[in-house]
Amino acid sequence: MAVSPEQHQSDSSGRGARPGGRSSALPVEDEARQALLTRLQGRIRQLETRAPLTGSSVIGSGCAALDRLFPDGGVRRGSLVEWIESRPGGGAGSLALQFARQACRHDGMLVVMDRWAQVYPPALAAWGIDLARVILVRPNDLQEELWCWDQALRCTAVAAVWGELRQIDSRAFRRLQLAVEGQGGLGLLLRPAAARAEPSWADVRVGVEPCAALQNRRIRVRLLYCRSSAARGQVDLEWEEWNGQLRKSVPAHPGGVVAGLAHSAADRRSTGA
Amino acid sequence: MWLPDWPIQRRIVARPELDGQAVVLYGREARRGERVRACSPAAWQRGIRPGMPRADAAVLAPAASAAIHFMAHDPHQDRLALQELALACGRFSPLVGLNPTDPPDGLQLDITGVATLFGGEAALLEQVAIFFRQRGYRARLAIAPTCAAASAVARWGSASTIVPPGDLSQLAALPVAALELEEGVRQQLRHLGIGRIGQLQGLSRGSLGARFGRSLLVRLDRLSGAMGQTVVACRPRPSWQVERVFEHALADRGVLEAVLRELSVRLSQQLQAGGRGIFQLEGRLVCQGGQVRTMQVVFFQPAVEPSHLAALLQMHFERLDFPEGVQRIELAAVVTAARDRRQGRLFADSSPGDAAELAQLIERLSNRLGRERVVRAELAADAQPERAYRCLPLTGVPSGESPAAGQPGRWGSLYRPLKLDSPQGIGVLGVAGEGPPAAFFLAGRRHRIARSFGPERIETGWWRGPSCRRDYYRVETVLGQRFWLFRRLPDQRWFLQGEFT
Repeated sequence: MAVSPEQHQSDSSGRGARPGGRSSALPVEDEARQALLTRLQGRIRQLETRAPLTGSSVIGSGCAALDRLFPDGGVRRGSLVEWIESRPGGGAGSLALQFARQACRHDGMLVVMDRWAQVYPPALAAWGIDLARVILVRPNDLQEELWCWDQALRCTAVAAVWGELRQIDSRAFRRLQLAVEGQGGLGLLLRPAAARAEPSWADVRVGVEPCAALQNRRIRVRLLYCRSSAARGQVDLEWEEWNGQLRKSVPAHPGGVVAGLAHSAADRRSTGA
Repeated sequence: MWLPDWPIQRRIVARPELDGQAVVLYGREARRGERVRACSPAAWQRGIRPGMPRADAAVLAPAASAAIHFMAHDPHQDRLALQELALACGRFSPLVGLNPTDPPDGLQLDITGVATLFGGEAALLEQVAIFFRQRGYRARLAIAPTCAAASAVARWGSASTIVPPGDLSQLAALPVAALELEEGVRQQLRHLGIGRIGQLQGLSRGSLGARFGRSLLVRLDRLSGAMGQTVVACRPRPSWQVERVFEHALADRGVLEAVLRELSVRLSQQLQAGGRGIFQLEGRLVCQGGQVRTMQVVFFQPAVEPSHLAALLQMHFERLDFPEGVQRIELAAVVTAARDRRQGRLFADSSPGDAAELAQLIERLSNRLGRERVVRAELAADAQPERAYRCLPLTGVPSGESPAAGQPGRWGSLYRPLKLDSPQGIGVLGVAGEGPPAAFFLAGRRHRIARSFGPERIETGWWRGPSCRRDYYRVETVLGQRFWLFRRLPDQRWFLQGEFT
C-alpha cells in the first residue's frame, strides 16, 4: 500500500520531516518520474529483504493516523519493530499489541515472550487478543530468551512475537533480523528507553512517549528509523478512556493542552526527570 | 505395618469361602520334593508346620468334611498384590514402600507431616486400620519415629501402638527377635540369656560389636534412629519401558547417543504395537557411582516416530553432564495416549504444514525451558487479579478439552495493566480520606498523580483462607505514565501491582 507524500505530510510535524524534500507538491508532468522513483525504491527494498512487497504483507494497526506514520502504511511482515518506551507505563506495549492483534487475526499464533513472568493474560484478552492463539514463553535467562525469540521468529506458524527484551547485543539482534526476514512473521520488541542509544538491526524503530492529558490516554509516537526509507515523523494519538479505541489526538481546548504541558514541565523539574 | 501370614491372607481375601479353613501353601524344593511353605491357623492346629513334606500334611486331613486346601505358593503374585496395596495406600502418604524383609510381608508409610491432615496420628492409624479391615485384611499397625521401630512394634508390641519420638522404653521391652537377626546370633543371645532389647542396650557397644558382629549394632542403630533407613517408594511401573545395561561403564557420548537412538527405536516399536503415542518420556542414566541423571522429554502431540523421540532426547542429552561412566540407560514412557488422539483447536484453522511446524516449535521450547514455562493461558472466574487466569502447560498431557476460542476479555482494554507484578509496598503522599494519594514513590523517584480512576473494590471469599480486600486505582502521573495501585483495606497500606505499558 503506497502513501502519497501529501498524506504523509499531513501527519508529520515539522520537526520529523525532511526539510523541503518529498513534502513539496509535485507537478503533474513529474508523475512518471515519481512512479519510477517508487518502483526503484520498491526494488531496493526487495533486494534488501528478499520478500516481495504484496498487499497482505503490510500489517496495519487499525488506526489510520498511526498507519500513515509508516511509509508502507503499516509494518511489513518479516520485519523487526522496536518499540522504545521513554518511561515505564508509557503505553508502548499496548501500541505494539495493536499490530500483534492484526497480524494474527486470521491465521497464525501470537508468541508472548515473558521472561519476567509479568505479562497479564486477562489484559491481553481485554485488548482483543484470542488467548487460544497465544503461547506464553517464559525463558530462564538472557541466553534462553534470545534463543526463544530466534526459534519463534523462524516458525512459519507464528504470526507475531511480542515481548519485552531489555538486553540484546548487536550480533544476536542481527540473527533475529535474519530469522524474521526469512519467515515473514513479525517481531515486536518492547525496549527500554536506554535502547535508543544502542545500535539496532530493527527494520523499524518507534519511540513512544506518554503525554499528560485532561481526558483519554494520550501518547506521542515517533518514527525514529525505517529501513530503506528516509521517512521520519511523529503523531499524537489517544485511547478513548471508555472503549480503548485508538485515534488521532485532537486538542479540544488549546489552553488545556498548554496547561497540561506546563504542568508536565514543572513536574519534570521537580522530580529531576 | 505388618500383614501376618501375607501369602495365606491374600488367598483368603481372594476366596472368602476359605476363611477359617485349613489352607496350606506348598512349594517344590530342589531334592526335597514338595514342602509346606505356609499354613493357616486352622492348619496349624491340625499339626501342620512349614517345612513339612506335603504328603505328610495330607495325612493330617482326617475327614473329607474338613479337607485341607492345598495351593501352590506363588511369591511373585504375593509381591504384586502387596504392591497393589502399597499404591492404594498412596491416599495416606506420598511415600509408601514394601517392608525390606524377604519376601516382603507388610508396608511402610512415611507419614512425616501427614498426620495433621487426618486429625492426628491416632486418627490416621484408625483410618488405615479401617481401610484394611474393609478389604478383609488383618493388619497390625504401629507408628514410630523410625522404620525399624515401627516394624518391630507392629510385629512384637501390642496392637496399634504409637511410639512417641525419643521414647525408647517401649522398644526396650521387645524381644530380641524383633531385631530380625541371623539365626546364629539369635542362638548366641539365647545362650547368654538375653531375651529383651533393653538388655542389649545396657551393654557396651564395643563388646556387642566384637561378640555378635556389626549387623547387631546396625539393627540397634536403625531401631533408635542413630542410623537412617529409607523407605523405598513403590511406584507403578510404567508399562512402556526399555533399558540397556552395560557390562562396563560407558563414558563416550557418541556411543551413548547411539544407544539412546537404539532404545528410541525399541520403545517406538513397543508403542506402535500397542497403538500408543508418548506425551512424556523419562530417560534415566544410571552412573557407575549410583548417581542418576534424568531427562524429562515432553511432547505436544502423541509421538511415536523413533527419530522424533531421539531428536528431543538428544536435546536433553547435550546439556547433561555425568561425573562417571554410565552403567545403565532406561527409557520409559510415563504418559501415553491412544495415537489417534490429536490436540484439537490450537491448529483447527491452520494448514497441516503450519501445524507440524508449530508442534515442533512448542516441543523445542518446552524441552529446553521445561514444560511449565511454555504455556497457554485461560481466564478463570476469580476476583483477585493475580488469580484471574491460570496457565496450562502445552506439552506432556493429552489435552482433555481444547481451549475455548476467543474468550472475550471481561474488562475494557484500559482497565487492566499488561504488566502485573506481585504487589510491591510503596510510600504515598497526600492521601485524602478514602481517596487515592497525590503522589507515590517508586525506585527512589516521586511520581505525582494527575488523574486517577477508581476505586474498584476487590474482595475475595473468606472460604479461601486469609481474605483479600483491596481498593484498586488506575492512576496517571503528570508525565502521562499509568500504574495500577491498591490500598489494602485492613491496614490501609498502599501497593503497586501493575504497569499499563
